[in-house]
Amino acid sequence: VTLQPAADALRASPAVRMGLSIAAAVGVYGVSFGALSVTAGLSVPQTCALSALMFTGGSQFAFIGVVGGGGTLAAATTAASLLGVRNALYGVQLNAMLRPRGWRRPVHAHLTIDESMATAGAQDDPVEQRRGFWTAGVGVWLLWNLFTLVGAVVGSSIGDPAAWGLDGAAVAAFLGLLWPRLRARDPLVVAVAAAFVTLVAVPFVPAGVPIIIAAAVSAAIAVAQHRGRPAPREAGMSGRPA
Amino acid sequence: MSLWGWVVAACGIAYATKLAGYLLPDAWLDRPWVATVSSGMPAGLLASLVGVNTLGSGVSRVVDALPRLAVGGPPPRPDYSGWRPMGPTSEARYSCELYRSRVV
Repeated sequence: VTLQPAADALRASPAVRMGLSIAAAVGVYGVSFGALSVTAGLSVPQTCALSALMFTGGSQFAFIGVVGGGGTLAAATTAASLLGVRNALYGVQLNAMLRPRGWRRPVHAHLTIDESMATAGAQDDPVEQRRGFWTAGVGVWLLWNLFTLVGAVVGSSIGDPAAWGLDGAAVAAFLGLLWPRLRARDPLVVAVAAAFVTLVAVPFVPAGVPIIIAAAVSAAIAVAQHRGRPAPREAGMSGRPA
Repeated sequence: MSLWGWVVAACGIAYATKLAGYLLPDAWLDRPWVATVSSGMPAGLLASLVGVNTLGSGVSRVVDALPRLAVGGPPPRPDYSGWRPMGPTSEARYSCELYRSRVV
């Protein structure tokens, strides 16, 4: 038995490639989280525990940010929890998409982050969705934790990842996932509307909320588009007039 | 509660939030409008992520910085209350700036 065909299939998979490049781009930023967390007053084990167990970058930075700024630990926990609300939304999406069973379900939940949702959601083929989720989820987890440890131990002496020229790489990766979807008219309308409400909302609402507003707007537009042109498959599944 | 206690509590809340989406029953997921929304929403979420990561942090930070530029003087103490950026990239860049302003 040879594993060569499976290896070739993975190498040719766009979801795996995209997941790996996102993991590399995002994981390196664990250095700045680790360094900042120790500066904020957390110990190295506490810093590593946040990356391993909380594992959602926005909430982690919010937590150490409030602690470092002199806020209470309750305030830090609240800020981190509010920033994580979007992950519940991703959970619904990924659950509907991948339908994990058994032990996979709690593992899927832990790996549910911006990057795994984006990589899986950008694929149309269910196999590719699954590959994208696992590659980005596991890849980011490994590198994020490795570089968190490096940052926490080595601190400022390693330098600033932004100076390495990688700061735009994750945005480029998200854009690379979005771009192919914009060929069709419906997703284009959704994307433009979502980007618009995000940019309008950012100065006025707390961090983490703009994407929830954008998700609500996207959902409303998707439903409106569906009502305009019902897909035959879905129309047959429901007694409701489409 | 100790710092360790709050770290563990915050991690627990984050995980429970993630898990909540996976505990919805299949019958609920099989409703047609769920399929419609899940197929239509990724484009919006991706566009929002791109927007927040590229412009979101920049715009609010530029606006915040304008009065200080006019007044001059030493760099202000890092203000952690306005954590606008959401994606790891812009957050990391922001944190690096804060870090430098504290250390250097």
